[in-house]
Amino acid sequence: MIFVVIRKEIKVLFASYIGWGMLAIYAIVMGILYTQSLSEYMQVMMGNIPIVEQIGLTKYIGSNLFGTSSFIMLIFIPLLSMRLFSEEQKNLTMPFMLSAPISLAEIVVGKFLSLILFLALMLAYLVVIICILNAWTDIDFGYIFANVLGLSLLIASFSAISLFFSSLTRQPILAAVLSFFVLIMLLFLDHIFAQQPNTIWSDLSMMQHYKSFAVGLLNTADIAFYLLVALSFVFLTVRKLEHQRVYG
Amino acid sequence: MHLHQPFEHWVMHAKSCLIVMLCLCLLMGYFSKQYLFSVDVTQNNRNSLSQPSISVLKSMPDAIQMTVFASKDDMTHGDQFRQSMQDFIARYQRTKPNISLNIFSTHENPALARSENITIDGEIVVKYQQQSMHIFPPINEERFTNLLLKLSHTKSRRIALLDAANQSQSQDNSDYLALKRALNQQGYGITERSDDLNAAKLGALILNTSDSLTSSKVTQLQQFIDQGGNLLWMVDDHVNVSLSELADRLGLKVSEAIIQQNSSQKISQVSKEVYANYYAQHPITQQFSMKTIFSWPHEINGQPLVEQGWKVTPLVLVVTTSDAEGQKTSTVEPTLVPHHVVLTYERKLNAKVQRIVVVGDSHFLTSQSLSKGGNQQFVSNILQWLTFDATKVTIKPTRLKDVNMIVPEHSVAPKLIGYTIQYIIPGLLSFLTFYVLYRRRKR
Repeated sequence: MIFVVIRKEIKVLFASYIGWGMLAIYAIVMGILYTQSLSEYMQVMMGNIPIVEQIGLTKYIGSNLFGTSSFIMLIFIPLLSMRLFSEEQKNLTMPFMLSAPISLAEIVVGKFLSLILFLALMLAYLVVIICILNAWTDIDFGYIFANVLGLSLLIASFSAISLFFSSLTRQPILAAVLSFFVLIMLLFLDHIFAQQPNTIWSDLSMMQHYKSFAVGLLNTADIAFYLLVALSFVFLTVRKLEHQRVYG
Repeated sequence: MHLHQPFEHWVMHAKSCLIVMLCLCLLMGYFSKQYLFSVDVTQNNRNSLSQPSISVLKSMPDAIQMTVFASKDDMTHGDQFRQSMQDFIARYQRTKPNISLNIFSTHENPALARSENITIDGEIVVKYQQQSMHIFPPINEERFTNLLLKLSHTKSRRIALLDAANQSQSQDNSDYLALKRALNQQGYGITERSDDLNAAKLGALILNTSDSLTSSKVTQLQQFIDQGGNLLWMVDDHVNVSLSELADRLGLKVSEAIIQQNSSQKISQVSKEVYANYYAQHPITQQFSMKTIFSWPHEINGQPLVEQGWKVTPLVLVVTTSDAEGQKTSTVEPTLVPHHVVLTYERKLNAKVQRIVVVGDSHFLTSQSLSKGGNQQFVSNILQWLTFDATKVTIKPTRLKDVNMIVPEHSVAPKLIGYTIQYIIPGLLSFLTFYVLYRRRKR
């Protein structure tokens, strides 16, 4: 039954101009950054740079593209997720969904996965345009893999948090604004509160955990952090809707 | 009552589920931090340390404290100095989890910066087993690992100071303040308690015999040498009396007269100041081109007995002209007279190398003398050699595979791909967006 929910949500996304519009904006930003980074790299590396200071093409382009993608997701995810539950409540279609012969967990997971699948398209596009460079140089696939995994986990946590906020209110815009502020707080928690490493703020900061993926490291603690955040908020969303079903 | 039972049951179930879930999350978060595992998946393992660095860290079982004094990053200007320092040290932290890191700017913690004698932005203080060393930017893996290597040699970096003239009040010996400060900065641990001269525990012993040592000290010293201890010995003509037995074993002869140099008299107006003229090819004088200046130098010569196994190298040569010794006559050209003022001794004792350096100037380590010329650097080199501290790790940076990009000159493909990514795909997606919007409005 989850697949039915996923298919329905994906169809809705591609039937609206918002889905296509986001894909277009993403492609425009990435296209500009890609060509700009590539020409910058050619200019920088033309000089006689010592081996220690050299940066590989993959890292140079990858850090720009993946870094910018994480910020784009910060805006896209609240906008995409706001309609998942808030709009259903606003359009009064929520009672039909809750009374459908499908469990609440399946509905929430289905909507969550549909959002991730849609965003995975953008990620796939990003991977393809970087991997094309392998025709002219020896691309660092390990670095790309770590970044893709990191960004996927970041997207999963962002989506779970936004989904939860979408279930809290009947106003889609309010849900989007709320989740945007919470996400930006979590992302820059360590920069806002302290610049010291090993503090509780850096442990809770989304960006701090993303850093290891961004340099090509796979760290069990970071993977566990994102998975736990995503699982917790999906669970909380299910609980919230269950509460709504019981109390109305 | 029966009607409400399932609802109450559900509420209880929901609450307990939430609590269990939250506890589970906290526990998993805690264990994921405790049992950390990380893999560097990059092509050249650019986030991992090289094998020599890992070996050095493995030889350091205790915790290492690092304090970075770096100004705060200004993200609006893309300043990431502090972050880059943090990332650099993170490579070491991944290999050795008990490395703690604190970052301050000198403005944030001026008292600490003052107590640590911080001079520049980006300076790092590394502490290990009650020893500390400073490292300045630019920092790279080779330099940082060599600093850790020095700190890891804790035993060999413990130096005892024994001045015969101050045997009873060695704790307050102010003559050696500059020496102590310099040695502390280089991470040497200095002990002035000369009760236990144990060669196994000391990297080297600095001995000044401008006065007589007590008989117990002489016995201790001889035992120290017999055990294979390394010694930096400042001597003057007094040694012929007080430590004649040790001097005999080393075949050491110290001239009674003080060396005087004409040239130095002209330059410095201080009659006793003597400049070194020649250095022998030796690890101590390698890449050392500064002048060493002696205040009360005596000529020394070493001819130990063959069975002692010492290899003697005259390290520093002072040349005087014959008129300095009052031999010049108006008709005869002054002749050049060489004098050895520093000797090095080296031998193998019980499969271990033992080293001794003898300096023919008992004032050479005083604060006043150390401030002259390259004396401080020279003493530092001597101690590095005596404590086998000159061992260095060489780390060759690996060349990245994706640095060079070979694009065929007349190929159309790169341009086509560039246009597709920059214009065609975004254009197509924009067209689709407006098409969907148009169709929805039309409906």
